[in-house]
Amino acid sequence: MKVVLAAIVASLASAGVAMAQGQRPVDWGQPSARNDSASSTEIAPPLTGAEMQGIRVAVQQCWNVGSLSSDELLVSVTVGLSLGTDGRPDTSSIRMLDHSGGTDAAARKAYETARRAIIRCGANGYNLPIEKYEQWREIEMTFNPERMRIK
Amino acid sequence: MKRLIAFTLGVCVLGFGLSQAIAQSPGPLRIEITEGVIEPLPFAAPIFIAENAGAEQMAAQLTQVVAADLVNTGLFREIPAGAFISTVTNFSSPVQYSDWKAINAQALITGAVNVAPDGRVTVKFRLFDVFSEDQLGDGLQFAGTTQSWRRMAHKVADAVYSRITGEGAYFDSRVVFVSETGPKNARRKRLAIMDYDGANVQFLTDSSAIVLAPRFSPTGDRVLYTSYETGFPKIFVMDVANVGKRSLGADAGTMTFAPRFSPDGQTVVYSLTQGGNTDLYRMSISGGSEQRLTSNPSIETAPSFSPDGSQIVFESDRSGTQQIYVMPANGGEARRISNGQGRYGTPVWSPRGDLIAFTKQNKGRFHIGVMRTDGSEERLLTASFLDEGPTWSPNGRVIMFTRESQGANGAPALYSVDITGRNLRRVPTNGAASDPAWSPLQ
Repeated sequence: MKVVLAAIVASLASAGVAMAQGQRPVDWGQPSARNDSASSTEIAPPLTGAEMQGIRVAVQQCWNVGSLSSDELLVSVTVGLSLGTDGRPDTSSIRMLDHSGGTDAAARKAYETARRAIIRCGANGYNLPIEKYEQWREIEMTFNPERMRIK
Repeated sequence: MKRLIAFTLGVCVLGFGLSQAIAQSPGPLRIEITEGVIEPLPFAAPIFIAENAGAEQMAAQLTQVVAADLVNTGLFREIPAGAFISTVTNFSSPVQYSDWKAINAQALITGAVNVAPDGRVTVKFRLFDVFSEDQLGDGLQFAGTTQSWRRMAHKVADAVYSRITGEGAYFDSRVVFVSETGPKNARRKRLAIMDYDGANVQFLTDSSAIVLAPRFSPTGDRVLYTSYETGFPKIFVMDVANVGKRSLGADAGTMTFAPRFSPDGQTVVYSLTQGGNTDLYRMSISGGSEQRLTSNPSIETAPSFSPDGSQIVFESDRSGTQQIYVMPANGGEARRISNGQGRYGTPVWSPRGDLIAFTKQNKGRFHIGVMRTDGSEERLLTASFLDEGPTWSPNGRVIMFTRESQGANGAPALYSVDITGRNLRRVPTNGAASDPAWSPLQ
């Protein structure tokens, strides 16, 4: 029996470590948020559709693809960033995570345009609920210009 | 014992539940952005620092040309100096990003000009991404003479344009065209050359003979054109630097016209009319025998090489109406690529190789358009009483063409349009102008 109990304790201990390091990306709508500002055991509700749309629209307003070349308009870039509790992007955290559909050089230009959009429209902080901070402190934005291409 | 087992199972269930919660713990929030805006990018270009007294006027003029180049693309908007919070008094001073952010300048161009006593001019510049608080690329420096200050300005603007847009440069280029004077029924035509923006016009011929359709060599040092100085259309090649010229080939009794260089500059493809029939031929620029490329009872003209030199696009009325065809550069079977309604002519292969620009006439209107090299994805960029004769900018992003206004006093003028169909602009020329041909980058 001691063996059984020891295994259970070990399982819980390892679960505790995993909790501290859990970083699996979640898709929008998955009900699994925690609230950092409150007790670590509380689960915050996910962002609502309107809250998600809010940040999407805010970034879109600054994503100016007018100066992108036709090659760059073929590139989809995914940008990772951290937001402070005031909703402002930490500019040093902004980085290109991935790109598809074009050359590295075109991806670099596309990334610069995306980065500019994130910083410009986040200068005063994105309007996001602080009680859900853990849901949005890390964001991955994929900028897909497919609809913006020259037709 | 049963209690202990139940307790153990309970703990196991709890552990499993926790594991599930862990598996769903929040990682990065994922958002896809699919809609953006298309608007000119606001930039600030404070007058470049004059590093000595003799450089003040040139610094101001040079900054003005840099800004004009960028604004004329339609992709940039200059923030007027009156809105500036910061002043730039030293080229090496740190940038006060907050001041430029406050006026929404997304790009900042700073520069300095030095004019040495011997007339040597040095221009250096830096480009900053204001909101990222980064310098975009290294600073660059150009050297020239007081006579070449506009070229240096174009080079600065080219570097800025390429760094921000990722497109190739095109400001430091020239355009050869036909300058026209006199009444509509008795026009006098001269070959002229100018900077891409209409500055520095020089005439290459007098108006004693009608001249048509000039075309640059791939190195920009020679021009092919058609002249009537013998009474019949005949092809000439001119050295731009010294305006020396010579005729190319053609036997007596033939007419040659619509010449164009191959991408390696060694071959000329053109139309030759003999016995009332017009076909395409090619010959070496240094002379020698002609190679016949087509043999049809129809009119075959307006040939243009693909950038790799392997194919030729041209217009032909072999189907009964003017259409666009593509064939191997040494002749052979041609395939029709224009399939819409109306007539298609003057096809020109893009320097990028991906598009063909053309003139289209349909329902009484003329258009400049582009299509893929297989004829798909046709897009009309303009519409007017008479638009014709497209030519590509060296980077394949802009098309210049002739637009003729309607009526007894109608006259041709040069226009440019972005391949998106936006930013239609008249190119400034002193008087009527037609038949533009864009040079490669200098």
